[in-house]
Amino acid sequence: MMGTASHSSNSSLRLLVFTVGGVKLAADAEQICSMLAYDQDDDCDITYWLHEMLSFGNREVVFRSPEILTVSLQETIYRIVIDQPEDIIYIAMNRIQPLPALVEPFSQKKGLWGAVALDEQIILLIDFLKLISITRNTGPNRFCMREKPSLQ
Amino acid sequence: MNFAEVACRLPLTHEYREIDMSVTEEPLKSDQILSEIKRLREQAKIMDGEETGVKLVIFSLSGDYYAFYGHEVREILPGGDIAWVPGAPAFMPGLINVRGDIESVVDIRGFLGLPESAVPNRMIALASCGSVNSGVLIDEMVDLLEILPSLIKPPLATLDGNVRELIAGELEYKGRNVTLLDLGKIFLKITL
Repeated sequence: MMGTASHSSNSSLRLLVFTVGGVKLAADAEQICSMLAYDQDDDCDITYWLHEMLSFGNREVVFRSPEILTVSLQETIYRIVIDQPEDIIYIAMNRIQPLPALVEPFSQKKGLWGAVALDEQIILLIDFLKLISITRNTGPNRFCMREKPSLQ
Repeated sequence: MNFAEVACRLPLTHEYREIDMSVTEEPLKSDQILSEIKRLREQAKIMDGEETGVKLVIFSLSGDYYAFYGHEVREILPGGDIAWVPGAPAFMPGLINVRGDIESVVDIRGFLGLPESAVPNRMIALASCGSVNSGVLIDEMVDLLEILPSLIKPPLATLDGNVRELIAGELEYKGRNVTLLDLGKIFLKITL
């Protein structure tokens, strides 16, 4: 599941690539404190489901192999449930593209800040710290789900 | 045909009474000359490039014909995988990968008051206006043609105001009305 980095350099970014609801995302590995196995009985109030944070709306989201990422912000540990962590890759900075001008105003509100075209696929880059800040501002524990999405 | 040739071809009238407009059904010689001069000048103007043609990309959307200025369309792509972006509104299906460049795709039907399209494999017109690039979903590419700007008429006054502001003009193509869209205003509306 978790591959090794193909190469590393100062001008590259180490990314954790994963999928949620069919959307391929990647986050700076430096923002992630740890990755834990998801345990349905161990859900706490500061567990955020990423598809809720990103407002997937009516899109059907099925979690196939959920995992929890822990992220630290201002001395608080937040748990974010993602799905299908695939790999850790290094991406050269010059391969990262800003999101197109028409998309940026909407995507920035979800902590999405760039994209990478990789093997015909598009990977959206997500800033967890920004997303948690945005989510916190929308109301305390607004995204702590009591009814979990379907698991496969 | 120059002016001298035109003048030679016109019938000469020696009887002054025939110049009286009230008694002749034929157009006056001066009117004929003036008309021919104007026609020749218009023709010369076109040939001199004073009125150069504009390229238009005509496409169909929900059964109607629309157009963009040709210089605003970089290429037409077959509809492929569009990566949805969380948080994007319904009129923005997502992103496409164009030879390594990531471009947005927008569906402008809603802005034009058009219904959902029944076309299964829609195409993407990769458009550019100012500093903004984006793919625009179209049903079908119809034609690429060059016409004189004078053939583009102002938008119909009867159109809904919200739609009218996005229209640069109207023209006729093979007996059908074509609505020329103002891409800059459409992009501006999306970002507002």
